[in-house]
Amino acid sequence: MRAGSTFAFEEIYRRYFQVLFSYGKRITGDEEIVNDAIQDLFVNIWRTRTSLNQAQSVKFYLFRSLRREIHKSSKPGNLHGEDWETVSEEFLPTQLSPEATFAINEEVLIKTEQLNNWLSLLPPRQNEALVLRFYHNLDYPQIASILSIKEQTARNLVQKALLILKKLAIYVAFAVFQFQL
Amino acid sequence: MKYKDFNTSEFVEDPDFRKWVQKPDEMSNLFWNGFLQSHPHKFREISNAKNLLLEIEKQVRSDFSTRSNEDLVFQRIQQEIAVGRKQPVYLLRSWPVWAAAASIIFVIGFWFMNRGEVSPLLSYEGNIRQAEIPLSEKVNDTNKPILVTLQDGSSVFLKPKSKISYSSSFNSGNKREVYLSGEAFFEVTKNPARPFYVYANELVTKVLGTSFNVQAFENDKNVTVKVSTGRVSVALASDIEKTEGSDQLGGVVLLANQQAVLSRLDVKLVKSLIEDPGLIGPDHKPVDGRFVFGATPAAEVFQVLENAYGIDIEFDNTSFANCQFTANLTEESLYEKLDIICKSIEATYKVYDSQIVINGKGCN
Repeated sequence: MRAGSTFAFEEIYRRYFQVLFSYGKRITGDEEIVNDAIQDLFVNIWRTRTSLNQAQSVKFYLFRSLRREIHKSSKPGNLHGEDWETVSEEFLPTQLSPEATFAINEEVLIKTEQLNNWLSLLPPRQNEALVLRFYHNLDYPQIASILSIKEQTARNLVQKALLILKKLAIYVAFAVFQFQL
Repeated sequence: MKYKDFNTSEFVEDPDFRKWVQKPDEMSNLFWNGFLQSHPHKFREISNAKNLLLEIEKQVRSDFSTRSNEDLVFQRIQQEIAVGRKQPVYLLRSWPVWAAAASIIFVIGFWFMNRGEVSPLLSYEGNIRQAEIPLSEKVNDTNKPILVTLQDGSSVFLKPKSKISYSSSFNSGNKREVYLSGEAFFEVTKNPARPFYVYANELVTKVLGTSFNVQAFENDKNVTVKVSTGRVSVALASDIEKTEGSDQLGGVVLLANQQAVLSRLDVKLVKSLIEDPGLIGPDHKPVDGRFVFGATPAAEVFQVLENAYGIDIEFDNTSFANCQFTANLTEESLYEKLDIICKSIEATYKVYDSQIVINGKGCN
């Protein structure tokens, strides 16, 4: 990459485009804004490629930059979970919203298609932290830097999410178990 | 065993556990299935942890975009890098305007030709304007060839200062169509049901699955198609309408190591051998992959070359009946081989179109 080869450039693009798109779409919902942000991000990488610090994880760099690009170009109201950005973490809910509690009553959950959505019952920031931690395998200092929060706050986000999911699991376990067999 | 007291959160936090769920392999399957057998009371935690990871993965994947969007954004990036500024996106979104412009240009072009005037030289810009479907474009403004992989698996080595366009929904429909300006080497995946067309200036090349090179710079005098493997047909774009519907394209059929050169001014299409013919494939090499001859009859030597390069070699069997040849010609090119062989059997060779003809008095 640092040699400036177009092959490596396209390779990085191809390897990360879909996960970046997926991540961006969760943040804004507007696919054109995501496309645009990814475009700016990669043009920027191309122009500054010689100064890219190689020791730093490429994936971490991409996610952090994409999030910044999207925030730069979005009106605050368009961002999912934007209202959480300014709220101090201790005030964030660890409880499910009333709608969510309704959605997971046992009867509904037996239908397996309902299981597809239980992650989206989480507050957006918790969902985002879970994805960064458990799908993209980033570590807590990296997640904290991406979300512009303290490392301990990033840990709390993930723990709270797991706590909610644990409560859910009591309802879900039976259905999941059946689904798996 | 550190895992025996793990709860669900600790499992999902464990990199090895995540690796097993995300990318299971033989080793990790062996380990974790073994662990479950010896610690059956951990089934619930493991099952919950695994389901959580799989749900997260499912969510991420459900937000993936289409391949054509991925290509489109990459193309915009390349354009911005090349042009140095961002192209307004609304241009790409407003299809109806483009479609109207295209049809007007098409009508004007048609009118010109019908008036029987000298039809203007066809160019890339004109060709892509006539395409009825949205196209993606790749431009190589580097000084090295770049590899473009098409949706059907075919690859295009796009040479410097060259560009190609192809349908955003390339892999559907009954034709695969590519528009080229400049030079490119194609390796086309076999699909007889959906022939592959290259439109390069005035020349159309049709293939079913093969590799070949097309050189068609806008301001060059010639358009050249060189074939490495397989079989392609090449025709003038203006002749295509006449053969529409029939399976053959008209024009000339090229085999491996042959080329067609179109002289654009006098519109003459000539078939010949390429400058430096190569071996046409592993199936056609001599048995041991080498060209080693020991007192081999000349007829047999020519036969070996004919097979290896897929080129017709004509010679008079009776006059060379007594000629034998001994040498190792593995490293030499085809023409070097012919030079050496002919010198030793006191013969000469000439290239006619796509044929090589050997002449000589024979040996005693």
